[in-house]
Amino acid sequence: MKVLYNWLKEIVDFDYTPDELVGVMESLGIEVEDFKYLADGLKSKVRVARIVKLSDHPNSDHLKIAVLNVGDGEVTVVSGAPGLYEGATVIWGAPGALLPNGMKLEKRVIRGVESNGMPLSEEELGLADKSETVIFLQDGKFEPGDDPLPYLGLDDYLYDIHITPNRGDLLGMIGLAYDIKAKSGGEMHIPEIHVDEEPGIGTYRVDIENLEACPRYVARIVRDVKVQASPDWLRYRLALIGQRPINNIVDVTNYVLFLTGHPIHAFDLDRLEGDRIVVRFARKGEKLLCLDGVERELDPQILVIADDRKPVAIAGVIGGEETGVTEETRNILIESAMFDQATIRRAVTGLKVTTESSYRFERKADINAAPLASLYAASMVKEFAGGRVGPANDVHGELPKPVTITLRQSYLDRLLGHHIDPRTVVSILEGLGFQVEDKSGDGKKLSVTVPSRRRDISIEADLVEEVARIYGYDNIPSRLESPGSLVGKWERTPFEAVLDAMLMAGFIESKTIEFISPEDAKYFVESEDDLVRIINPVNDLYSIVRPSLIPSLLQATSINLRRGNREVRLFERGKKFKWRGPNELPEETEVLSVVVAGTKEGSWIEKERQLDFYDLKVALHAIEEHFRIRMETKPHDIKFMYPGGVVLHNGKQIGIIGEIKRDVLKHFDIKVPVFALEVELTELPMPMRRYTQIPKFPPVKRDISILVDRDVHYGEIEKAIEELRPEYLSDFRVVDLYEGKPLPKGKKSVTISLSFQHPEKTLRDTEVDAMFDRLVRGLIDRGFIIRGINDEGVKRA
Amino acid sequence: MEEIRSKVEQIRKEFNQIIAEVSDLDALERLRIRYFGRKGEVTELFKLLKSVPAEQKKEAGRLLNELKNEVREAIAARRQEIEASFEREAYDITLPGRPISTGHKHPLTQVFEELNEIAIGLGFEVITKSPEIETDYYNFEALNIPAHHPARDMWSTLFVTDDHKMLLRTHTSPVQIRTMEKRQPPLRIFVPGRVYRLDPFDQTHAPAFYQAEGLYVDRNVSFADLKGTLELFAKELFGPKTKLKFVPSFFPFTEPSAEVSVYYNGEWLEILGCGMVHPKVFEAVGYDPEEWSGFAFGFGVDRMAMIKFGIKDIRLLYESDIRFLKEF
Repeated sequence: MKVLYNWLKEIVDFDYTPDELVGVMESLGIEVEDFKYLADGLKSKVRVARIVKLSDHPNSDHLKIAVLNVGDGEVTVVSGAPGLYEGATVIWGAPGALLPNGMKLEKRVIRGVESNGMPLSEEELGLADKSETVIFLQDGKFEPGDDPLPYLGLDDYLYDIHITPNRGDLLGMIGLAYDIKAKSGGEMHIPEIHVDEEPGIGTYRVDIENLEACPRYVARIVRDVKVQASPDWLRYRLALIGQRPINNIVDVTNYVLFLTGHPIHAFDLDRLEGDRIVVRFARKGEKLLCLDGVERELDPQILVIADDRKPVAIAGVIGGEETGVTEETRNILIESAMFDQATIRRAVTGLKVTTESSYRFERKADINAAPLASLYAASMVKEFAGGRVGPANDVHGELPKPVTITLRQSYLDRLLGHHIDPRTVVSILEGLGFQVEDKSGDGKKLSVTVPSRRRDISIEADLVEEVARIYGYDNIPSRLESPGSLVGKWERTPFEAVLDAMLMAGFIESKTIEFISPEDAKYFVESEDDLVRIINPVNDLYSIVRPSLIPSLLQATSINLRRGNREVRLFERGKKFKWRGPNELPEETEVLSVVVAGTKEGSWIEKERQLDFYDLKVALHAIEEHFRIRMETKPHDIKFMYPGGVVLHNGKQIGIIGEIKRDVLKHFDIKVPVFALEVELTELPMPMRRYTQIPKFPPVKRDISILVDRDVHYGEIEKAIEELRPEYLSDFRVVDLYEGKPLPKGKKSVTISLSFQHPEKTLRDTEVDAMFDRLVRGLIDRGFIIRGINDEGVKRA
Repeated sequence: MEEIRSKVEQIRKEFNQIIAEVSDLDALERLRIRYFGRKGEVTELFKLLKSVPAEQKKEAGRLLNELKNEVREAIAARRQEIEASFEREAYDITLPGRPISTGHKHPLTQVFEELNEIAIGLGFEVITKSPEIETDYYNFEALNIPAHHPARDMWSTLFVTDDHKMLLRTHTSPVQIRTMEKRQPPLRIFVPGRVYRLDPFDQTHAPAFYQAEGLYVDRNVSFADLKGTLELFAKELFGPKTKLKFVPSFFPFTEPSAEVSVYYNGEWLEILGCGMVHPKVFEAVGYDPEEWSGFAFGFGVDRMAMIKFGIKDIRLLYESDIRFLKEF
């Protein structure tokens, strides 16, 4: 909401400078988003001037040369404004003036004639959307050289304030003034109302069908009004707070809204059909052409104001075009009503329209402000448009009782951790306009009655906030007690532990957002029913809550490769999501994903090389090492990988690993192979560390070469050795893979280095030989061919 | 005697020629053995000494010792020369080592670790496990944010069901409710986590970002405790001279509520919302507001990280440019 310093000062006394007022409002919880002096570029650069001589421009049909008396001398200006005349009083903008629209006035030559600034229009001064010509000031009221800024309302300060949703009462100048008053202690000067109601005008019938949706409706007729432009001060004031002046009746309704915070509306009485207003929910199929020129389809959720035949306004939101006030209007009906906040919010959400009116009703209007706003409006209409004011027809159900709350000193002190003197408490509450009764006589128990404008206050804690707010949060001392019986802790899980493993293995941590597009998602789920879909996404690219981290990391890979970052080794820890139907929250699983792609930079000592699958696989080894577990990789069909496989731990599948398929890479605009894995972290045990005796005796090594078909996976050999594992086989690793001569075609040799070790003694050769032989025999029994032992047949073949 | 004299001269001459050509340590060792081995030339020469007449023995001894010292020193000097040349030419210690791939921790992870540590120091229990897709009840209703209340506009919400009953949590506050439902006070928890908003992805907004929040419930927890805790928290995070400003604000789940700004690098930055737990929130979880009181605070972790590291665009945190990530 936009607030003018001078307007606020008219309503409440305070000594704050415009700058200080910013701090005061902030200390009250009113956020000041913007603050400016309106005449920043105009001060001492604009003056009242009189046209003393007017002549045609020799080189132009429409331009005039005007000599202006500007108080301390005469200046010549060239102007194209229509309607200039000798003796006219205008507002001269001197060279150097900076207009609100950003235009800077300068001395310049226009078609051969020197022009020193120009006479200004309302548009140029930011006081109207559009002006026909310059401002002509009323004769006799101004002398050349006068400062016109106070008259224009521009010698003022504008605050753009943000009001929290609970403080609907601050959405009007009077409500705001009450808060300032509580801080400043100054007097309130609420504008007085003078209106003589003429009973002869009669009242207008109002039928409210639903008192919950519309608990109060005040209708008032004003006859024989003269619709015309509002007085300058009113037009200027509205323009400065961002409201377009229309005519005196509409301007009054707007002004009353900003003064009281209570929205009102005026109908052209003669355009209402029948003889009554009906407040009802819209019927299916009803439409209304609204004041903003948009025709809206209504539905039975939307409350409307209707005449006997049709809706004439969307209650609390916007009026209808057909019944609006125009220059032809003679008689008006002023509506000042109270509408239920949820009803208005439903209408606003459904129709996707917000107005100054709906904004206030959504934040709960003050039911008791309705008759008062009606009186303000009537009084101002009479002042600016004349006419005869009828009595109000105030229709309402049972009015709410004033809210009275007990405030205990003990509660206040306990919640704030600070003792505030009861007299201070009472004076703060009274300053806010609350009625305070000291029940206990010593201030320990106060009975506080809250005015209906403060509809945000309903419980004792609300009063504590009011006291603290005015007392000043800065004046409440800080306190820090020892942690007491509660010990700070952080129970780490594999989610945290895996970070160390990945960092030690040299991977870079990435964080990406959880949203992907349906096109990205489809590769990564077996069924699209498993996807968690956002029904109102920012855009389609972010409409799926990801079923895997891999698509996000592929995006990251693509970005990096395109930016020339050639070595991609990224990991991310996050959640993957799976839909479980509308009656159960989706499944969320913490996973680790890793991608590897691109080129390992070379140097003088090592050649540059492509990163491959085995650069990825070290991530699994890092996990094995860090978590002290063994994992098995087993080839398996994976929808978006080839070759691909599953990662098993204790026989249970906990992840997938492999090379991303071509079509998927193409979709992500990646031209090099990408290797990826994803492991469910919830399935990992936390790393356990326990000392075991370091072997005292050196291991004995034996190599074994196994001849297999080239498409046999190493994993099968590994599994066989694991199963046959002799007692003192402490370790084994593959040390060579060989294909080619002298091996038969289609065969490969896998050489494995075996280490035998006894914890207590040095193994004798005979003992090692025995174990080795057992292993070899076991392997042969399983159909393996061991080179140099049972490969005779193979060699001959 | 003359025989000795001429042999000494001959050996000296030969030696001087040979030593000049020796270029490796093996050859040098062979040379040493040739002269000083058990049957070495110099060793043999000393054996002749006993056949020299007594009056010339002194002179012959002098000659032999001169030769011995000369050869020994020359060999030692040569050894040093060879060793020196050998070390210099073997490898260039000024060349760079083998390229390594180093791990890097994401800046947000670094901030989380710092935040969690501070929280633990202040007696908070860090809770990192919680659902990110929530029900309307936990995200709004139980936090005193009824349906059709304009306060809902404070959180632009992404929904996953048409009836809006299931949504991506807009803040970490549902964890307050879930924790209080399960436990009895006193409790002091710190909850970092992912939250989601219907926001465009631009310089200052992301549709997914991180929040952290603290909750302390006990007998006699007060606004003064809240101020003290946050002041210490901020000092740990931003430095010992950090100043905070508390101004009134509104959150449906706290009363009184405050917004906190930190004075950092010459300007006040809004960083945090907080307040005393609203009695209606206590009622929702079955705590008696007459017996217990509590404070809660919450802030955007991305914003903290951006302030701390001088990052001006939130998108940098999520696009995974390796050059960016390697800066941390």
